[in-house]
Amino acid sequence: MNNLHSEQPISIGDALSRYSDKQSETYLKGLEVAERQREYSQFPLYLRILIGIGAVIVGCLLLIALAIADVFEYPGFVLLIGGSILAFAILLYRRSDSFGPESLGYAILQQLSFVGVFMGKCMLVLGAGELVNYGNEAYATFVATLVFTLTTYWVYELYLDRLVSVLATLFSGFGVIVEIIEEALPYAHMEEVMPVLALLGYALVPVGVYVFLNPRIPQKYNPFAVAAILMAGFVSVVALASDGVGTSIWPLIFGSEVFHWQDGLSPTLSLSGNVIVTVTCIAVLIWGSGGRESMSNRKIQFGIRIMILVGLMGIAPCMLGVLVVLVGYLTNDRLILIAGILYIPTTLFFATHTLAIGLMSGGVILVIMACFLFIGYLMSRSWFNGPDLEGTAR
Amino acid sequence: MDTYQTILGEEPSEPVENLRLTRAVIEGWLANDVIEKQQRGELLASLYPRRKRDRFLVTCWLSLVAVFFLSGISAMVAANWDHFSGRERMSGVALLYIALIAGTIWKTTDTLTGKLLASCAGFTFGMLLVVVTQQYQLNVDGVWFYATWACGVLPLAFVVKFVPLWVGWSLLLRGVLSSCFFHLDIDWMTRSLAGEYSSWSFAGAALATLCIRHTVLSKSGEKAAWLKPEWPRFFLYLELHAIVVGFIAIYFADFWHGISDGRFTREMYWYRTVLLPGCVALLIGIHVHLRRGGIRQIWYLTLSVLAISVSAIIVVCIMMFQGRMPSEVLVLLAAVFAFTVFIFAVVYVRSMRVSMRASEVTEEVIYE
Repeated sequence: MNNLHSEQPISIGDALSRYSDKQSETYLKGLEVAERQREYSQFPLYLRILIGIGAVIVGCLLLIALAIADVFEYPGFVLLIGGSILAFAILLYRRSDSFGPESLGYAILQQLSFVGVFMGKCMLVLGAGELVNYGNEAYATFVATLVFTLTTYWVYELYLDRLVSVLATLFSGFGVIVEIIEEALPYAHMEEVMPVLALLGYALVPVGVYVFLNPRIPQKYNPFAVAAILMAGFVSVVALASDGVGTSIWPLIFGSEVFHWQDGLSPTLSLSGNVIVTVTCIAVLIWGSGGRESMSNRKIQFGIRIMILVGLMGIAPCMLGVLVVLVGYLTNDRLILIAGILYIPTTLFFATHTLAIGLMSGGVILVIMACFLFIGYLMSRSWFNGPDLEGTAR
Repeated sequence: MDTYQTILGEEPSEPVENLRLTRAVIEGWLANDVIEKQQRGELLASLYPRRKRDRFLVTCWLSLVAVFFLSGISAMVAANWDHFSGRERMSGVALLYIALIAGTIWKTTDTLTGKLLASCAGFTFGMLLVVVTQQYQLNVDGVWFYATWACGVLPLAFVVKFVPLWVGWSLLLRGVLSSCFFHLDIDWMTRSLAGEYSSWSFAGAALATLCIRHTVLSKSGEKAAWLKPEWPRFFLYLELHAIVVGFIAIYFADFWHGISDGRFTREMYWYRTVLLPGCVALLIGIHVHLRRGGIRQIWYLTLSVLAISVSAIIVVCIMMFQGRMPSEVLVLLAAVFAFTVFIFAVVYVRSMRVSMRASEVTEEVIYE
């Protein structure tokens, strides 16, 4: 058991051989499970970037040719052609499997397929937007993006394509929500709409984190999870920058001269972002520490208390950054970890530059957050040097 | 597998059992009944060794405290900026600069903390310049400002030997170079010349940086190990290729319209007829140089192939469209040409990859 606590990274084979023989069924099943998680493409990224840029250039030239030929004057026709091109592209992509990955035929079919997908997606969105009456473009765009995402998600095993498609669908989905709110409240100001949008954005956080962390959900849904968290990150920063949504409620105590947003914004809606992110942080902390049993550990209990204090008193997008760092660390995912580390200063920039909360109140909130964290550190400092406490999962 | 590896999508060169154990794999094993809950706990304990985990937690925790506190304080200072006198502002920023330099000396330039403190000191030097110029209403021009800032950061960059600080200094140098030609930006004719001259100076700076880096690395060996990270080199090549492709497009359009309209002798800038083949030669020269680098240069080679392909497509489009609104047939033909060019580009890079890998294996065998 001593080597279990060494600092050297261990391999999958070493880990499996601790509990089973190399020839045993369990060992082979373990390898099979690990292999399933290893997705790779026949083409490395640099070739895919080359193909992708080529597809975009060729697709743009073809779209310009269609525009010069006045095809875009007939939206129904554009939709029909766009749908046909997309279907044809999927067919070509499936057909390319019959060629060897090193053959010329494979390269041609792949390139044609990517050109078709790019053109098909563009034409579906443009055609749908033109086809409907004025004022309904958002709905049509959403339906078009949803259709092409559902059509291509399970066909093209490309991480970035899936990510961009889901992100586009979520963006157009938020466009529809803005449209619905504007229809329901025709005289509403943006500061009344923004908290609702932010709430929906924050609601994507637990969904994304759950899909990303759940081992029973296949790896192919990771782009969906990442897109959901990216969308939440974007919406939360926009809501913070424009109307100060996601900042804790306590500055209200000092009255409207310090903090202005209570005139148009609902503090309850604004604070709900903090609640969602804090609860998700706590859930991830418990999951990362080994499950519900770890809640009896005093360290975990203390961590939960600190998170509640900082999360509810602080700025929700900053806590979202902390959550992403936590997820990246717990899943040994360098890119997610770096994204979280970069996201924190971004949110801090907006937190200290938004006029909605003001420099002074933004600064005071951040100093309060820092003080809570520092007091927490001073209280728990001895734990980092002492032995593990009872009740820990590991 | 982590997100970076999934996006990178390289072919697996190692069997799965040799790969590093990750949490996702452990959770997958538990979900598929390969291991039991207690074994999962043991594996997680080995995945996150306590000492390493505690070090990470403490670093993150204190970093968050520092970042939140400094952001909060800077926001509060900014909110009350108008209440400070000029002397207070200058002395405040100067004290911050001195404190950062003192911190760098205390932590030494060998540690990451020392390097980060020195980088912050470089940034604070610029803030100090802004405050001083505002206070005394010096009304300085861009060249003076960026040049002074760059001169102030240069000794720090030399001492600290930190790539991000050098990248920041390179950006300052770009600021100096673009400001040098700012006086030309008077009307639309001279504006294009200002853009052209500053772009050439950028290309020269990128080329010079690449040459200096190469020389230092080959002469100093392990002493210059801090220069080894590839990402700044990739950005320099990206900048160089983007500028050269832009020049090829502009010079060729100028040349072609001069020929086709019969204005060649009157309106063509003669130096451009010399520079146009020079740009093409530079593009091809870089490509030949990168081809010699083996499989490790494959990303650079792809960049070079992309630049050559885009240049070829632009040249053909200029010749086909003749500076007028093209017909749909001409655009369709251009699309077919672009498609063919990119097919060849993909096939070429793929064949280079295969041959480079093969030659690398042969070399390994020879050296064994």
